[in-house]
Amino acid sequence: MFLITAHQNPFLQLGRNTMQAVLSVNVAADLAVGPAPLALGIALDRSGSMDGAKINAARAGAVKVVGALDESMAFLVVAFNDSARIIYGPAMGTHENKQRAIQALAGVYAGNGTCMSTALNMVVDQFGADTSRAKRILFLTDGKNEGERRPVLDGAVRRCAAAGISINAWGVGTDWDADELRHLADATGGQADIIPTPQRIEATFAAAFQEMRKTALTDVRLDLWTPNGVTIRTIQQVYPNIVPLTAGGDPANSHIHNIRIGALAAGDQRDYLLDLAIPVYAPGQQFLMVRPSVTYTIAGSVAQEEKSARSGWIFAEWSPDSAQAAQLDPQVAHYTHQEALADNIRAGQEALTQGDNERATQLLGKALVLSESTGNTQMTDLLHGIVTRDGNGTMRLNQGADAVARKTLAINVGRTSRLK
Amino acid sequence: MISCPQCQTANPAGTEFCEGCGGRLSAPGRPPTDQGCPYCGTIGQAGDQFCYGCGRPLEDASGSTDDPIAPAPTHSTDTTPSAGAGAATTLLDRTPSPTPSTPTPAGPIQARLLVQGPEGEQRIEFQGQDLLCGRRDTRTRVFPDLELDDSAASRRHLMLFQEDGRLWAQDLESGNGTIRNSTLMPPGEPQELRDGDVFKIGRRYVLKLRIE
Repeated sequence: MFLITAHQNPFLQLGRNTMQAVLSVNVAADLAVGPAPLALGIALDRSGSMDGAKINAARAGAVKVVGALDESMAFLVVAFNDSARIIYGPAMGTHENKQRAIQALAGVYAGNGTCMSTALNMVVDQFGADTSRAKRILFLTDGKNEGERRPVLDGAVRRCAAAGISINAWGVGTDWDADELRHLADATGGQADIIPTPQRIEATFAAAFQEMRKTALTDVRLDLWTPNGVTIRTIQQVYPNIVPLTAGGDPANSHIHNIRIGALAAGDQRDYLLDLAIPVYAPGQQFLMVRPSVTYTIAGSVAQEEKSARSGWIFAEWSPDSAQAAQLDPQVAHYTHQEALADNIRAGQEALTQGDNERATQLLGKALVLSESTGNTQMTDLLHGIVTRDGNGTMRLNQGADAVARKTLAINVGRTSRLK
Repeated sequence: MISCPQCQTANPAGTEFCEGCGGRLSAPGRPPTDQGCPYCGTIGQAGDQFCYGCGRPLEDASGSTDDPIAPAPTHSTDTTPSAGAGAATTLLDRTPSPTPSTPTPAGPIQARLLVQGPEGEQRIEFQGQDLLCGRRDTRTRVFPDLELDDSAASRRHLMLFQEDGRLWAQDLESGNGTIRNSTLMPPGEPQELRDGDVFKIGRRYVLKLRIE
């Protein structure tokens, strides 16, 4: 069901006590498992700024998704401003329930402020205890979370993550905060992106729902066994986007560290960059440093564990051959460059916001070179909207770049490409 | 149970990597099976002549003495060395241990190595020159004088050389060790050679030394 591959140079210089490796977790493309039953929460921003075309389009988008539900799916429609209100549900996706939900949606109007946590908490309250379904939130906002302090939102996001609810966060227009929406998605194994205009909400929601329906495995967790003395200094997801993670401990076994992956569909891939602190041993003997396994749930069954084949094991062997030890694994190098790419874009955008155009040009130009050289075509296209290279190869800010281009880049800042 | 030589963790028979420190307990590339060495539990492979966890002949598990490559009894009284897994001796550190020895006249010593391996038998004239035994690896440019076609042999496994008018052997901190006269050589520590010495390397090679 899973193929885990370790990418690393196992040979270390004598005395070296750190090492890096990339773990690729692939779900078989020909997975013979049907879609997991879905519990879907639709959370719509109905703050004052949504009034007019946005709230109309949000209603239409929600109606489109509700209409596409089938009877095996549970759903809940929530609208929020300063507080959250259940518009309909939770209920199963029967014809009658869908009709009632669509009627209820017609009564959603915009007004007042924005407190995102209220909607997330309401979905957790209704779906959090359901362990038999893949749980998702389709979240739409047009603005910043100005009605409450950030820790309140962070707390609600943590509740979602703990309950295994992943968030698809969408920002309509350009007035939302990319960092907030990225956090909603990154912390829950979801996605975040821009919907530039209200007219595209309906089509975007429909496409997002189709992707959710492909979910086959839920509560997927990556367990990493390490021997005595090995510490996971940092671990981050590096594909499909960069997400810093914290490895949790297993109270039953101090050698096991786990990473919550969430829900996966056939053919999905997640790559992780590990930075390990390790003991130093004498050369000549091979040491196993990480042995991964995956636990997952298929609809209606108990959690199952799949141990990785040897291809996913991370080894270390100290070598007196310094040339051999100095070789950098191409995957590790690739994702290290992707990390540098994301850092440059973030810093470049910050400089842009502060009006420091010279520094922004320098950083975003460097990002463009990195994205081109590492084959990240998506980021290259986005960066071309912000910086341009003149005939002499000099980078310049694109004076015609609009807010949509900048916001699209901001929300996609951690998006990575695979090594080709 | 298998006791890890690195950290002394007791591992169930059949364990390939120590559950304590992660160190390899059995041969590379060999899947764990229930067929462990009767002495130490290291996992072997069908056809292995001897265990390369502890080095004992697998055919001789009953304790019989019909091993065709068993060392002469006169050499079985060698001092047993410590395993010295953490020894920091390097290839360049060849200082022979101060073993009492009869002075030998200077000049090349005439000796011969009889090598038994998968290719059959071969004889190598050894006249005191450095003689590197190991696994050839073109990628890392290791071209041993005696090439060992055995994945259990390290690239730089064992060095034979002459110094102070005597012949010496030094295990170059090989991954799976070198057995000399049924005893694991201390990694990185030169030992003086004697006529009739028998070395076992990896799972396929036996070297017998004859000093003229």
